[in-house]
Amino acid sequence: MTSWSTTGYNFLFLPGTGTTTGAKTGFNNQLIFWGSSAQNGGASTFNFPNNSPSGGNFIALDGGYSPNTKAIIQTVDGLVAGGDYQLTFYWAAAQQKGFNGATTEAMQVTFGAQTLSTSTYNLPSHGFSGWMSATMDFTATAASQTLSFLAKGTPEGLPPFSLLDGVSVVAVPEASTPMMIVLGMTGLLMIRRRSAQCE
Amino acid sequence: MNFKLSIIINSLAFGLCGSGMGQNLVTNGDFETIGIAGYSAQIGALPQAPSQL
Repeated sequence: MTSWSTTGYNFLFLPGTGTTTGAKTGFNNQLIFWGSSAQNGGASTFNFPNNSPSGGNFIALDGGYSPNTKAIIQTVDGLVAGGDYQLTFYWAAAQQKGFNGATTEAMQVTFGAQTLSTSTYNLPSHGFSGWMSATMDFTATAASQTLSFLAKGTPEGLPPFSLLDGVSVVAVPEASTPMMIVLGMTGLLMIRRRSAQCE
Repeated sequence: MNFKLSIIINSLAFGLCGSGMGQNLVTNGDFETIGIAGYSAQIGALPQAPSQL
């Protein structure tokens, strides 16, 4: 089964932590975001909304650490060339503890030959954007193509982090599909009405 | 009547299932299995500790 891969400066976070503490292979518990409970000595007074709306683990991508800022990638199979697909995901802007200054964050998504990006988020120093929902529309050009998420952040080294969770790609039904459903439902209703009249 | 009913049922079935509507094509889109199967293997080898940490 194919899944995600990366060689970039991207990290797995367990739910409810805001730090890599407890991750299977964390970063020596050193990577912590401003606003996390760990940042405040364990008391959750900073109200860091650790969990995305989809819950569970999430990924943090450093968008300003060249040359280690690299995408997280997955090959998506089962596509139909020429078919329309809708990508949805949750993302957030955060800043690593220990650094000061405003940052900007965005998530750039490439699916096959198309590249789209979220709007750029202007994050105050020590801020957290909260989780945001993003929706993007793509047209497949092959049965199998690469989906990648690349964090885009400024300035270098502060560092601007983009968080990611709840990634989904679903086929957008062709115009004929809803028509077929309506046709079928109408037909069933007509038969039911006719049967009722005959009784 | 049976022929008409067959067409209607086929239309519904095609409409609902024919396009794979609603099926998430992304594997592990919630990142839940990373770490269980092996974080370092799944998420890539981490670079050297950066000076910023």
